[in-house]
Amino acid sequence: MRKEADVEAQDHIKAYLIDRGFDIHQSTGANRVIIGVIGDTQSLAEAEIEAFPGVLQVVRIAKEG
Amino acid sequence: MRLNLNGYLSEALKGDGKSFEEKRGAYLAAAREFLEHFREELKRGHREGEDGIQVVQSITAMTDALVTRLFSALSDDLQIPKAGELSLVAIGGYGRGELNPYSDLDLMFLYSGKDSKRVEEVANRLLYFLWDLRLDVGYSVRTLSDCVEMAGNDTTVKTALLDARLLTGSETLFRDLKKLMVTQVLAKRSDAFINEKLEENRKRREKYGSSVYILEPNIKEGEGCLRDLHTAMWVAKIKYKVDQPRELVIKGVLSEEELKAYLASLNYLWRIRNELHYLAGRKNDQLTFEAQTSIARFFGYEDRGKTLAVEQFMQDFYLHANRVEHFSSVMIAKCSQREEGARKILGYFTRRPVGEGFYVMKGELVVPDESVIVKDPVRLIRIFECAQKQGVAIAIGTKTLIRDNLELINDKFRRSKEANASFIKILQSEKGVSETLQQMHHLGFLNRFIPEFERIYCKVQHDVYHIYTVDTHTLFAVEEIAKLWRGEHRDTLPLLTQLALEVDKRWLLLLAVLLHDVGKGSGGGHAEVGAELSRTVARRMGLSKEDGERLQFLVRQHLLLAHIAQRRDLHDERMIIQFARQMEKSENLKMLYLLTYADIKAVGPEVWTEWKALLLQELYEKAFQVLERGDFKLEASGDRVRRVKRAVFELLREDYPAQLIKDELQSLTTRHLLSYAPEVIAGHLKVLLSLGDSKLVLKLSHETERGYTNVTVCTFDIPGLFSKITGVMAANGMNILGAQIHTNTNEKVLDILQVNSPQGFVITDENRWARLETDLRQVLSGDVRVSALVAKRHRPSILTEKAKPTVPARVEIDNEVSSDYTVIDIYAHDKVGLLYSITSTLTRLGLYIGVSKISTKVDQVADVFYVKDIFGQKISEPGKLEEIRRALLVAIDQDS
Repeated sequence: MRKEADVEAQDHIKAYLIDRGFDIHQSTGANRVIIGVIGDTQSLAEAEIEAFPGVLQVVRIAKEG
Repeated sequence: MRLNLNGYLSEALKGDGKSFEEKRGAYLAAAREFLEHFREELKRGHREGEDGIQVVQSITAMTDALVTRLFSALSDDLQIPKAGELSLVAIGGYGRGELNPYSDLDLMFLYSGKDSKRVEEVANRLLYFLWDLRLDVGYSVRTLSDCVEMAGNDTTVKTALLDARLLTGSETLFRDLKKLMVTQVLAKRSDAFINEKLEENRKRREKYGSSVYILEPNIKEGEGCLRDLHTAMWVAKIKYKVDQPRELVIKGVLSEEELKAYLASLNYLWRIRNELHYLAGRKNDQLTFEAQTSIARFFGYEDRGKTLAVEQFMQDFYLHANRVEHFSSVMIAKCSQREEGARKILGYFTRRPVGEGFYVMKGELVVPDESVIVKDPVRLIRIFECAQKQGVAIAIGTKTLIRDNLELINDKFRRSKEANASFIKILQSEKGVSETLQQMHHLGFLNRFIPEFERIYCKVQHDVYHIYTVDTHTLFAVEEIAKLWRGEHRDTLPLLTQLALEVDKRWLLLLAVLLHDVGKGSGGGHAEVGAELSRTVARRMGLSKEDGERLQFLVRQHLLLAHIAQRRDLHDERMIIQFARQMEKSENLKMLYLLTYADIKAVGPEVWTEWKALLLQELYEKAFQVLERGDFKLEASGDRVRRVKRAVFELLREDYPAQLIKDELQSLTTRHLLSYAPEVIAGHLKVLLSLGDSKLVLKLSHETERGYTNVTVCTFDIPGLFSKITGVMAANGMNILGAQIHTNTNEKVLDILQVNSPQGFVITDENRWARLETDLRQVLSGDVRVSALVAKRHRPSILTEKAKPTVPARVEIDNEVSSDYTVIDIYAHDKVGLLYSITSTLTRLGLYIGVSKISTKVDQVADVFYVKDIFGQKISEPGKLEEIRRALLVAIDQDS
């Protein structure tokens, strides 16, 4: 998430993901919040998520062989 | 360690030339010496502190060396070609390399199918040899296709083969077996296998108790013990096609920490099991009280203040079992989840939001975004509330979430209105209340939320009366109340069921049940300590003054109802009134009655008896009438006596001459007349009137439903009569539950005894009653001495008794509770003729017994006697009281 993204923005994106059946693992650092998405993420479009307010970057974890 | 059997063979036999059978004797001697030597060495290692895994590995290595050496000698002898024909395979626990000192060995002779006669021959000879060494060996002789077929049909075989390990012989054959197991057996129906395992688990729980907190757990089969770890591993082996636990880390199923925890658990449980086997000198997996004490000492525990070493050891053991249970549940949950594909399609549609960031998916409560908990910790308790309300389980991941966040439950949480409101809702709810509380307890939540509860967490009570730890007993008591609400005892316990349903504040009753024993283990009266603790709980939870006081009242008095019902004369109206006064309100009485029921019922399966049920109900009803009547005054007894006499007279006037009835009625004591309904007294009179020259009338009425026989003994009074009756009963192996003694002014005596067999059954065998009558006649006529009869019965038991924790005998004297009698309470260990020893002592002391109540708690007797001196007075002189006390203690101890 972006540094300036507030809790509301976090909740918004999380609600979106949870609605789609994903689990969330949040790491809250001093400066930044990372939201881990757990589930079958192949069905997610990165661009769609990046369009959410407050989202800085979407990083897909490499698929295992 | 040099594991070479050859070293034990004498030189002359090492050469060739003779067959194995010719050398058998020498081999046997060598093998014996070998075993003896290494067993001793391993035991020494264990006692000197070698850990569980080390010892288990050494025992396996020793056994391997012995078995393979013998096998080679035999197969050489019978000229079994080495390659491709036969392999010796260890299966089951031996296959896993997990041998404790006296574990069984499971061997499989795997062969190609050729020459089965010769293979059988090798197998038989090896087995006879091992049996001669007193090893516990199971065996099978199979071909590859036998293995596949049997494993397909039988889960036990399949599981055993899963752990197969080649000891010696053909490697090719063994490799083929492994390959076939993977392709033919495991690949097919792996889900079915996992389900079978889960089903087995469930059955095992049923058999060995579905609680981690059983007082004498089975180290192998008990919950949170070895089998839990095995099951987790089997399921993982099937699911992830691995052989060794370590591979699960590589596959990302387990973390390094989890693997470490798994190995540490194995180590811990094995070390206990090793010691258990060494202690018993045989295979024994039951952690009996006796073994617990020795093992606590072996592990270096020491008594600390009021807490015994053994209690600390067991507390640690239960904590450990709790962790093992969680580990194995997590593992099984991981393995039994559906394939990802099905999940992603269905998941979207079936994940149903239920508020607070909680969702229900596949019948389980999940929390997809774990950060909601930190944001509002009250959600921790809401998880339980929500799962209970929705009637769903808590997903294993959510359980881990709770376990990991317990430190959020601080004093602020405990005082929070929302959290307490949620807890009360949980307690008040119709359904699943005891399951929810058990979950809260199991996950460590309850201890954090009610820190007072932690005092009894995994607390062992070392007696044979209790079979559960205090916390488990408490949770079972909650379940007993819930059963009443569900109407499970509607037919057998209608009154209790009705009362339970009448309770408005169910939560308050359950809170009292939860707290009734929290005072245990700190010395002093636990009810009193518990009441003080309850006050703190009530204040913290923000209960109203009235609720808080009732809670304290219930905890403080939770032993009173049972005490009075079982040990006091319920025909003593003054006493009943005093008791009712203590209850203050009928709502208190109702709740106390329910709490008492739940408390007794949750002690163990056979502690609640029909007899106790009757006594409790009688006391409840009598006290309730007094409370409802409102005035704590006795009904003028003169009027009642006259009324009863008239009624009895009317009932009998057609059968007997009027004067005869009147005289007999006149000789009854007031107490007698006020204790029974007129119909019953009319029955008594019939018996009394039939007493003629025969000197004895014996009347039986079998109360089959209540589980005893009412024995009415009518005779002429002689000194020590009651002691003679109890002696004859003891000599005939009859168990006395209670006795009402009525001595009339015309020298006639009418004693009514409630009698059953020591096993708790109604005695219906007429021969036994006939023998009793003969004995009684002979004793009363002076032809036979009762002491001789009792002595004949007193033979030493052939069964060696299991060591049981014992409490020294106690005698207590109460001069307050009854206005007419001195009341003597005796607590002692039960034995045949105990009652006779006591009553004969009372007779010798010149005491007259008016009422007697006998209650047996498994093996502990609590007898009470209402006595007077020869002048019909209470005994008040301190010197005399002390003499009585001492004489009774001597009588109890004399032949124990």
